[in-house]
Amino acid sequence: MALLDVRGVSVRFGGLQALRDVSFHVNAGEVVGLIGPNGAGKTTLFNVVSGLQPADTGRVFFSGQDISGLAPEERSLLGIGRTFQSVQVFRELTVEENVSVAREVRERVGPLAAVLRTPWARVEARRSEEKVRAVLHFLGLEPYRKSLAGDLPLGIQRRVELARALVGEPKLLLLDEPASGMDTAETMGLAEDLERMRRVLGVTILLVEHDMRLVMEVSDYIYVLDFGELIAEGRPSQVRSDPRVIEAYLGGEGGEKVGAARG
Amino acid sequence: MKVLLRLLKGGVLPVVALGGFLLALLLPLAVGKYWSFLAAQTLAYAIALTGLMIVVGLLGQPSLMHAELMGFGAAVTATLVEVKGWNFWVAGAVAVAVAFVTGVVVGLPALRIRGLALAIVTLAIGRLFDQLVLPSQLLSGGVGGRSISRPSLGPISLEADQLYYEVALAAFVAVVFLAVSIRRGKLGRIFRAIKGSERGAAASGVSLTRYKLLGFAFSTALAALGGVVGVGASGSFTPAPYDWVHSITFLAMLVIMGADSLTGAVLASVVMIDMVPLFQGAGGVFQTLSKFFEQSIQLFSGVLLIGVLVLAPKGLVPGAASFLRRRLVLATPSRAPAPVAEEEAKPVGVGRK
Repeated sequence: MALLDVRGVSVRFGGLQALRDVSFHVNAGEVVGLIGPNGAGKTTLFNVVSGLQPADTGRVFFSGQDISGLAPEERSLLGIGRTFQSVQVFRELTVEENVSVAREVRERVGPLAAVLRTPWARVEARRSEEKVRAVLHFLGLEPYRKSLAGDLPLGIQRRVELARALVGEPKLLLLDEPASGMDTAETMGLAEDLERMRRVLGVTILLVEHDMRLVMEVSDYIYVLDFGELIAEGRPSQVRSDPRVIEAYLGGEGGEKVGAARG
Repeated sequence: MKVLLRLLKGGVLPVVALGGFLLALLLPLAVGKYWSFLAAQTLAYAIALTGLMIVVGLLGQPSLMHAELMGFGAAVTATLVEVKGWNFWVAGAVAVAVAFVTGVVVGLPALRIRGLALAIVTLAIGRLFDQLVLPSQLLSGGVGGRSISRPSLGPISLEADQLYYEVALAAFVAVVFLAVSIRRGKLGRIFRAIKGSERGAAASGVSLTRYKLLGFAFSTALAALGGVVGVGASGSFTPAPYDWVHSITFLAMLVIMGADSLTGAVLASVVMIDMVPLFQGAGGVFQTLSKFFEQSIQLFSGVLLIGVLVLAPKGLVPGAASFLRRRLVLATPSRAPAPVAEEEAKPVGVGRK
């Protein structure tokens, strides 16, 4: 059974058909890439999976459960974590607090008990602290623990978002262009991080990314989206040489990137 | 002793707070009946503005209905006492509880809309209160409003303004503890997360519905508690001091002083309640000033607001605090560590290939 199963999803924004009858699935343990030119509907598809965008038609199944009607936070609690292309850190909170929030909403403590600091609330608070510390360590964010997230460089903010998603122990992680704005060294570091996440944490990853080299390197399987439709899928080597993919990319601005990845 | 040590370890702020509290406790000894009365009123407003701070400063949502909600607390209390003959404190507790539930309802629009649109909707809800709810026969009992006698605390009469002030102070201190524990705790982090990014918060597992409504409920309950303390001091309720103009002044003053600053909430109340009497008391040229101030607090706060937003966007109190910190070079941990840290932070990956 697929971990994530998306069936026949369509989304329309006014006159624009953002997604047309898109079906795909992600198996547990895989890294799956989702590529396509700008405006192909990749982020919309992410929003449908994470619950921020309701689909006009189609259903989304997670671990066999139909989650189509669930709110974003309910999907998050079920084990779908995500990051954003336009970074959505909590600017007024420190790095540590950013991550704490995502952990604390998973505590089985009511808000009143938290304010009153009941013994059980304290036990949970200590567990959360340990978990948060472990994730910050895992992503090398310790030096920034007490820094306000809004004051940090973009690359670090992306890692804060990643930490925030990981602390919820997601089964599925949706990464929306995690390498955008990163230099080559940082991107290589990211590839390493993704591999560690899969190996050490057993996270399944669905990745939207413009950096073709990164996608080709880390993905087990790739789906190609163009004008809201899936036009191709397959192993990285197959997708790379697929004429429809080359066509789509040569038409768009991503053309030279595919070329670069091939060369 | 242990508490004292912990306070000292906590730095300057707790010491200042403790000193301020002791001075506040002794205030009635230094000033007379009249100023004790005004001080109690000031605390009532400080409680209400602390409620406003939760919604505006922590949750990041605008609200232009808090004066009316404060009036709602006062009206419900006065009605239960005068008409039903309830004990003042029981009536006050019921008023706060009713306001908590009301907060959930008036918070509903915040689930759908944000920013300017939400500000307008809260203004409209406020108007609903100051046009229909507060002046209603049920709550106002006619044109004259309601009057209640000063409550007593068990056998202790609080008829003396100095004594009532101490009760108001106790309520305020309780509110401060509540506000601080919300702000420093899990709830405050969740509120600020929502303020920072609603999408990010939702995707992290935060229920926007639950926590926005909870924020509005706490906020409205505190506004009503301010009304309860205020009506106990003044002994009368009329809708006039709780109209939409006052709500705008509430928000403007809070933003001027610092939208997420407790000290700001107190100072805003001092400006609103005590400025005019202070000037009047000083006499002479100040007498003239007080007239001007009384008639044009809106103009005054408008001009001040512009100045503050330009010079200290976070408000006067946070602005002054960071200025002092820079000046006195009190331990200010630099917010972003040196770039060197980035190297250490990224042990993997760089060496690959």
